[in-house]
Amino acid sequence: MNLSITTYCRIKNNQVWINDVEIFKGIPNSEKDFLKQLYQHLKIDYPKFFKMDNLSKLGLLTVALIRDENTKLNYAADDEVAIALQTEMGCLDSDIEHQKNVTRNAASPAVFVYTLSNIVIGEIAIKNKWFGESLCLIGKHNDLTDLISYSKSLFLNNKAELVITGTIDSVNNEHCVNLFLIEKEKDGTNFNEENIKKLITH
Amino acid sequence: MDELLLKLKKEIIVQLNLEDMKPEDIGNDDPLFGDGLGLDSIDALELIVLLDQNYGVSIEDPEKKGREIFESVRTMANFIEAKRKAVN
Repeated sequence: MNLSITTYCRIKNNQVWINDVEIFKGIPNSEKDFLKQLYQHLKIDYPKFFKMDNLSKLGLLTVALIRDENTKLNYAADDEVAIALQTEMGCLDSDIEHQKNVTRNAASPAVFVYTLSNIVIGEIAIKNKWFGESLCLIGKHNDLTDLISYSKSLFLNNKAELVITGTIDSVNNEHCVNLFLIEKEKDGTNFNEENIKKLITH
Repeated sequence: MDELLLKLKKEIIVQLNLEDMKPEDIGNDDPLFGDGLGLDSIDALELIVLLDQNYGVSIEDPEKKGREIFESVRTMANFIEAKRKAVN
């Protein structure tokens, strides 16, 4: 089966690339943080966004960018889109905030609900109304063997027509995400670990 | 009462991250859930925490009484006032 990377979104150092073309750059020292700047740039109207942790915000925005670029996502059935992500730091930001709140005896339910790394996938699924397979792995970005193997298995077992996969991290307002849309296509960059690593590290 | 209503609105906006919303956007009798501010179950928990931390009042039976207390900003303010009177 030919599997290809048909759309690729990268966010790093407050810059955004789609298929290696820079499309947005955050304004430094703005009163609005980068994620809010990008949210407004994309003209998304989703008030729940502001209640999310940064990891979920980042995932939501990256998927919105991929969806804008590749309209196939708009026509897929809700159970045909799968999401498989890998994160090194997971929900560390929320964990730290929750720990601080607990220490001062003031736990916040709104913070607590984001102290699970896979919540980002839930938020993406809810926003886009996708109810396909999903997986969130905690692991270093230099070892994507399991992530890629799982993503391939979704196609081989007819569990998905489109898979959004890649790495995502957001800690202390430093965001780094590389998400790929994978399809059964001959055209495009072949989906394998070598090509994914090339795109992530170039 | 007006002062309490305004204070509550400001606190709700901050506590629930109601972006781009101002106190004057929230009517005293606007429903907080459903078609009103569109709050959800996690927001309800945050409101319980807000009442406890900022006003020292707790709800004995949130499942039964929560809906009534959190109907609007005015019902929240009435609940706080009633609790204060009971203490005094």
